[in-house]
Amino acid sequence: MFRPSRQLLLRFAAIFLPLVAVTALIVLALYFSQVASLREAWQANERDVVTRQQQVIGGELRTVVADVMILSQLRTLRELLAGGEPEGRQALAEEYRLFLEQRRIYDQARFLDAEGMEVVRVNYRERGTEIVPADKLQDKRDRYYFQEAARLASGQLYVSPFDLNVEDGAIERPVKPTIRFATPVFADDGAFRGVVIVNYLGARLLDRLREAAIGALGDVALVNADGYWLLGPSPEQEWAFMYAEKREISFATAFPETWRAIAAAEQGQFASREGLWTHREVRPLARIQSGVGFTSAPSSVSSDARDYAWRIVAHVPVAAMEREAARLRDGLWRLFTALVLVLFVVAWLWARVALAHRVAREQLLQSARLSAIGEAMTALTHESRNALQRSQAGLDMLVKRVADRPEAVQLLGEVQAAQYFLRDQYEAVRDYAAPMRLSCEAVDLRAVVCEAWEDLVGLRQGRAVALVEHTGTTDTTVWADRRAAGQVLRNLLQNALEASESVSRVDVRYEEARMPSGPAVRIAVRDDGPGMSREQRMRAFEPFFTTKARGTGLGMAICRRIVEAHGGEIVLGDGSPPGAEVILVLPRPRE
Amino acid sequence: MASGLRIAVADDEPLIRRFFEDVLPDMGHTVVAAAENGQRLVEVCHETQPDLVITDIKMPGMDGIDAAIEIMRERPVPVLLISAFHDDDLSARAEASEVMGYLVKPVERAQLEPAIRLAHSRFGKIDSLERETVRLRQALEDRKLIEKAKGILMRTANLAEDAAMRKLQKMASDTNRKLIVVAQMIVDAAPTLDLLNERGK
Repeated sequence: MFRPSRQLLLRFAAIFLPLVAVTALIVLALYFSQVASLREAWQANERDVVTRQQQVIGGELRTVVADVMILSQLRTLRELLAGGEPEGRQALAEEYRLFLEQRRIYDQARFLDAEGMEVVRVNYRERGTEIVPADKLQDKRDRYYFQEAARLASGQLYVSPFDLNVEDGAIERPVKPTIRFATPVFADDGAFRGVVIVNYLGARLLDRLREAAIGALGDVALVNADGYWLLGPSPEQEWAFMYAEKREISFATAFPETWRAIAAAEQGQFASREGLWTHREVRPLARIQSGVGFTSAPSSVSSDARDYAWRIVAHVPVAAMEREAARLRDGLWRLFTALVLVLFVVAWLWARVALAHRVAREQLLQSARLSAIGEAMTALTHESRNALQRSQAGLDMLVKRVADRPEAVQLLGEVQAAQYFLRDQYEAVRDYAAPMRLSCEAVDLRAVVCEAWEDLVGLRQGRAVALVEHTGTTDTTVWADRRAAGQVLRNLLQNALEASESVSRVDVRYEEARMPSGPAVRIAVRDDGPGMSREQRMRAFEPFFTTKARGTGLGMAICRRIVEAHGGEIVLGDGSPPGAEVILVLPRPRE
Repeated sequence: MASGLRIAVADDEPLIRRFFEDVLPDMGHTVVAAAENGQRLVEVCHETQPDLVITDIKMPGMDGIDAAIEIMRERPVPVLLISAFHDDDLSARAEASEVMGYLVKPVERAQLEPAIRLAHSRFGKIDSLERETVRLRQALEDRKLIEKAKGILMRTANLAEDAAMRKLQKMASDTNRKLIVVAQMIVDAAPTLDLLNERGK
């Protein structure tokens, strides 16, 4: 099984994690900028909607004002005032009827005389417009619209509040939103002669507003100066001010804080807990006052004392904005996940290449260093061998001369031991540092192990130690230098034997393995001794680290050097008991 | 069998020469010469004709290997090399020089004895094999000469093969000479014999 090395994982993490972090930052930045531009787009859209609504209202009411002016200056009305009863009355009524039938936006058109008595009244009905007969005409002198209009000068206009039509003291059903427009009529001599009044059907205005609200992201409401809905989220909430029991239902009570903010400004846009609000005050008559090219434009407009001000309020609820943001997040999350996957692969390959590169460089460096050391060491060893030879020659001659003095012989034995130790040290260092020349061939590892075990016969003397080989069906042939492989295995077996006096068996297990370069054989050498300490495990392959009283500390380092020169691997086992385990991986012969 | 050898030694270190002179007699050998360099070693070997040579490789002037080659050219003798080096170059040279052993310093007394014994006995074997080879080669040469002489006799005296052989043997016993000497004489005389033969016809 492939198990990535710790080094590879670390390197991978060092590449992958920063990449992911940067990507996350970029995606987050993208998200926020997207949200910001989305918000800007919404804001612009809502402003457009509100502006459109305002234009609709302005355009509509301007027409109505013009109509009223026309109706108050008809020739037939002039003739009637000049005294043409009842033919004049009939002619005016006919003209009003024609007008209503064509216009279809007025519920009724009337002319009241100076005392407030209806002279002509035409009711628009879809089945047929009716001219109210003379005996059904009513006295309207007490009605507010007559009184208001009667106070006006020539060319002035009275506009009633936008509300529901009331007939005989009750709200007409189905509801009929209405605005009354009235203007006084004067004779040529300036005497007040009456008032022309039209009832504008507000439903048409509201329909046109609804049409203009298509394209809004949320809902659009028309609210009057007191904060009541004229056009609201639902019919039940509209015109609440007309009903005593619904006085509490208004925009102002539903969104008190928002209403305060809206009421305080002519127009604006702001976000609150409830969402995005876009509002604009509409004073439909303000623009009419300034005149729009009508020769008969009213010189001024009066209205129901209070300011004739509505408010268009467009609202995008938080939920709607949140939904859009969530959609954006979803998309970006998918993008992010895909990027992370790509980065994973990239980082993995990168880490492998980088690691291979580093390992190659280190090996190059190491071998350059070793060859320099090797040369120095060869020279040093040569000189040391000469010196050791002199010392040895001296010792051998001396032993002869003091053979009859046991104490001296014993001391010379100590010197001889030290001499051996020095010799072994020099040889090990030389072995470690000298340039390695391998001559590889197909080698049966079992034979190498057997030979190494035989070589160690001296160490096994007087002990009951068994070599137990586990071959299974594994072919134990590797591509190696026979002498070098023997050195490695002798070293490992020797370490196993020297781990403790109590070691009673050494297990050698052969298994199939794979290396990046191809098939390989894995050889695990395990003793049943006390195992290795943490420090021993960490420093096992370090040159000059030893736990033996007479060790050079180079055995494992040399093993590693040899194995790596074969393109193989040498590592410690996982440290599980019993004993210590060393694992070799050596390549198979190439076919 | 390896005791009592006459041994020549060479080393540029006086102490090492002294060491050999000290320990080799203990093993029953005699140090017949101790040289301090290769040139000197060649000279003393010429003078003393030792049974075995032990020499250091690296010495001033001529080194041990070249000295060994020189000595063996004059007379085959077992040579033991002792050196602080054991690199591939030296090993290859030593191998080519037909020396009998190669010991790496530091060498101790205990190692010396088996190495000497081994070198001597192996040399003995090789030497006897070589002698045998020389003898066989000579026998082969003799055989060829006799065949040639026989052929000449068959041609000039008009004899059959076995008759020619008998004639040859008789000539040898009559003149009290070795068969090979008679054969050589006939081969040497062949042109004259052929001339006489032609006159006679």
